[in-house]
Amino acid sequence: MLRKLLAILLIIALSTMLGAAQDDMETYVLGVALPFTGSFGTFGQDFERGIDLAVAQMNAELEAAGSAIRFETASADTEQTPEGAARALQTIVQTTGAQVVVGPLTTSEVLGAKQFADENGVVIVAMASSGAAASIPGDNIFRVIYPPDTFASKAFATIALERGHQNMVVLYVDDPFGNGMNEHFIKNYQARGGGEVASFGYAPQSTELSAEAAAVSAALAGFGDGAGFFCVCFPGAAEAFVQVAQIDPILTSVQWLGNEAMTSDEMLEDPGHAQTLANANFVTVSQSADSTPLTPIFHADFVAMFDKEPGIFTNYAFDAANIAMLTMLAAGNDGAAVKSMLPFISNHYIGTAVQAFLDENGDQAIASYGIRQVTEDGSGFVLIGSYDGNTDTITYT
Amino acid sequence: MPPALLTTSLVNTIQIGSLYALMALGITLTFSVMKLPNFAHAEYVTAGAYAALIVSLSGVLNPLVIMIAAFAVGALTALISHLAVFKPLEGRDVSFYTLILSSFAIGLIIRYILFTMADYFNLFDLRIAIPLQILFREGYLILSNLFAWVVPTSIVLVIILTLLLNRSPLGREMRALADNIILARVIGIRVERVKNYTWLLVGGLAGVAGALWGLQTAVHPLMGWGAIISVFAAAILGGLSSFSGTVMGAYVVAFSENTVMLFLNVNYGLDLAFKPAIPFIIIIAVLLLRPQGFTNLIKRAGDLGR
Amino acid sequence: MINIDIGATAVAVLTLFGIYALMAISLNLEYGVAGVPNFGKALFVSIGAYTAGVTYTRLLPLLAGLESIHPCGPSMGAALQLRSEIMATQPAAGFINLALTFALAAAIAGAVGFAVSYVTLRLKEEWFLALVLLVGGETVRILVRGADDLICSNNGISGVAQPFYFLRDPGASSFLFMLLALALALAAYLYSERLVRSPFGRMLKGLRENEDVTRGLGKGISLARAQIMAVGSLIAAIGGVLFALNTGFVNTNDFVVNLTLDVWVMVVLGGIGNNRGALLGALLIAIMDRLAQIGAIILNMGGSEIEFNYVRFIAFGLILLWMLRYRPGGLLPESRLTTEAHEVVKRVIGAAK
Repeated sequence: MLRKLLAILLIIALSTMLGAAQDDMETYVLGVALPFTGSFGTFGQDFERGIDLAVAQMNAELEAAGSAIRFETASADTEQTPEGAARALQTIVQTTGAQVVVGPLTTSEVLGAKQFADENGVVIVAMASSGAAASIPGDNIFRVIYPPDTFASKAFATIALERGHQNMVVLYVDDPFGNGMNEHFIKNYQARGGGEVASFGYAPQSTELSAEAAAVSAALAGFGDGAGFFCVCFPGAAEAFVQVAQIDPILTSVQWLGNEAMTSDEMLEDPGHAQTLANANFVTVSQSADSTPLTPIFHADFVAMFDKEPGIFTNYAFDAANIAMLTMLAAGNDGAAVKSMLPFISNHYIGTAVQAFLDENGDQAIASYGIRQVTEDGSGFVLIGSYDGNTDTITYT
Repeated sequence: MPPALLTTSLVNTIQIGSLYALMALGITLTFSVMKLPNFAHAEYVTAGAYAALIVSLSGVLNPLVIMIAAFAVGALTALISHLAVFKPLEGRDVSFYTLILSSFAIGLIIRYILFTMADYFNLFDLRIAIPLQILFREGYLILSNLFAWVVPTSIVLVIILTLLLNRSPLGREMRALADNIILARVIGIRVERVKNYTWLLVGGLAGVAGALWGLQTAVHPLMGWGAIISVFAAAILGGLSSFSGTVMGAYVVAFSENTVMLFLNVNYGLDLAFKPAIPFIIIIAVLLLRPQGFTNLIKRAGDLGR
Repeated sequence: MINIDIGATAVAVLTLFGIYALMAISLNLEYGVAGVPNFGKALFVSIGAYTAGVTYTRLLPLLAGLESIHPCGPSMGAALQLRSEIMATQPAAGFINLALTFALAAAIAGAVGFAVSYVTLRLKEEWFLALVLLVGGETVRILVRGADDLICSNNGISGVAQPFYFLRDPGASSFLFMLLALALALAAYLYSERLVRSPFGRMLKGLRENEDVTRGLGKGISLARAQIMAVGSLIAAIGGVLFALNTGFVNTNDFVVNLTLDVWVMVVLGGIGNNRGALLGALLIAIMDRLAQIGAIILNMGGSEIEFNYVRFIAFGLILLWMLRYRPGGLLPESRLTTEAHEVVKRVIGAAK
């Protein structure tokens, strides 16, 4: 075992020397803290690709412009736990001197990394955390691009009422994201004249959801005609749910709403799942696709670089990395300067899905969503309208 | 409880219980013959599911071929983990905890090998390409083709296993090993060979269970690990020694997770998010109150294979 | 670009070592000395962390002479701000709060450990105890998620700051926190060394080796086991308080089975039954964790196709297997206990020769 330790030490020493060799260049390290292991490992891998794409493009432009600055990523695994996120952040900062870190994924990981970031002046640029618990003014956490779920829940409530659902059944993941979405959905739905809502939480680690599907089906049957179903699920669990729901007579006869995670590629790859969503007239409210000129460019570049489709939310990781890098180019590799300047830069960044504009908590304030519906044959999703969260209006195209 | 919900939950109980039974039998067999509580059993399930997924993605959709592939890969994974890890520990005076920790360690290794592979070939959260169809529908009762695969497969495999243990020479040798390994050696049983066959059988069953479990859910490197506690609960209900007890245990666990959970939800508002606690509570209650599980309820209790 | 801040890295690793050492010593007392296979370590660690979550939100404002704000729900942000302000401006309140947290965590965990030990004495076989504790820890974790108002189970409690936060200097405050962790680990080590060498400790080892003989000598077995579980649990809970303070955040997601397994690996690695072995195991795991993370950063920088974070776990499993197979006694195997009586006997035998 001593030999193994020595080997790792040797690698570190060697790469330190190699790093020092090219000193005419200035290298800025962009930290990346994501869950690579655990059930969200897929997200971590996809997000890292989005960040790698942003860094590769930025470096190519910097080289073409004759700049001496280059970006390099240093990525560490949060193990999907808050304490793991803290250790990942510590390791990145203490190993590479990084001042800016993109990630982590979930709200509880972001909160786990918070103490170290605040104390050491390291800036965290999270791409997909939307739980209200991390909306704190003045701290070193910025949650660019993805707005708090309070907005999306209003859109879902309005659509449910427009579709004529007098009652709703909600299945939600029992974590900060799912709980928040469920709570706000119920509040908004009932404030806008909706009737009763029956909600069921499922344990986040669940991989088999037949009992949950049976409960949802029974609740829908209890409400009778006119009830709708709203799924707030994570990928993996979403597929497992549709797998058992597709033979349920009640679930296949009502209309469904769902969060963006229900629209993963894996979902439509299965013909049975695609047909189920098509029959359910499935509609999702997510950050609007095709709303900026950058959207198709990002998509084409991603496919060209990795020979695969970007996963859901991957474009937000791309955006977060770009905002972080642009700020570092303007403010230098310095946490305090980046913290001060990041809102200005992100407020001038176009975004792959939506323009970023930060509120006093450092969270995305622009709530512009696309409303997408599954096609009749279940082959894909089409944009049927948009939702402006700031004025609370839906426009159908 | 509404009749539709009751019917659906009972169908789920039978379907999921059959799957748990397939997985749990392996644990009982390993424990009886090898005196080993094997937590790596979860990974044989996952390995089988990935074998099934890869075969189905290559265009072969014959369920029999898929299950044979899953059996083979599960069996091989189990045999390798025996030869590389558990066998070298035999004969030394190792404690039970050394064995438990070793099984965790080999499980960790297999799981992350699967993670590495799934990442490299992009095989996360995919489904085995056999579409789900409704075969039978009468009132609230709905049976799918998955049900038609899972339940008979489990029953047939359980019967074959029982016959094998009770009627074949290999089964007699296995039971001899389970009773007294020293005596078995003395009367000339080739212990190593019997153990190898046992491991192949254990892993193969787990692999088939994985293929069927992959039809029930989505294939992910953590899928076996996610089910292992329920499966252990089933085996513990069987006293870790009786086959019929284990099968009964599997249905009891599935019944608690489905029908009982839904009953509590409907009548007392108990949140479904507490579902993962059910197998845990079963394990604690059984070990504290009735460590022999069901075995004494069954005639000729305690004998492996009954 | 690798630019390791060796000072900060050492402080971080040694802080983690102090926390791990408390957990490892507690397990070594329970399993290595008394033979109680505590596979529920995460549960007892979490008791410490949850206690910190409660005292920082309820007790700390009282100590500072302010009214406490409900930490969960809509008032979450305001409550967090209040905690941070007190920790930054009123160090005395912070220290008193921490001292009370340690005392409270130790008392609760000690009582739980004592009670659990009595309940589990019913178990037929010893390894059932391991299984019951393993799943018991997970059950409590799942059930605690339902106790939303106490520790905001879903969102967790942030701002559980370490006590030297008021210095406003991350280098100095983390160094002092490291010293605190190391001091507590040292205290636990000295205490458990004394315990092991005491007649009580020798009786426990006798119990571990042969229950019947010890029973025959008329020793109270249940009480002894319960006592050692209480002591082990309270040490683990003190580790849990530090664990929460080190992250500054209390959340149920941190106390999973993996934490328990890590502590077991420390003890097995170092040497079961030997307190110095437990310390060595804790140090090795703290160092190896950091080295593996650094290795993953370097290899990923090199653009490797294989995700090193997976390989990290494979390597961890291989090292564990290698140890279990070739060094089952650990790196520092247990040594024979010698007492004054031993010495006397030796001298007598020597004289007779």
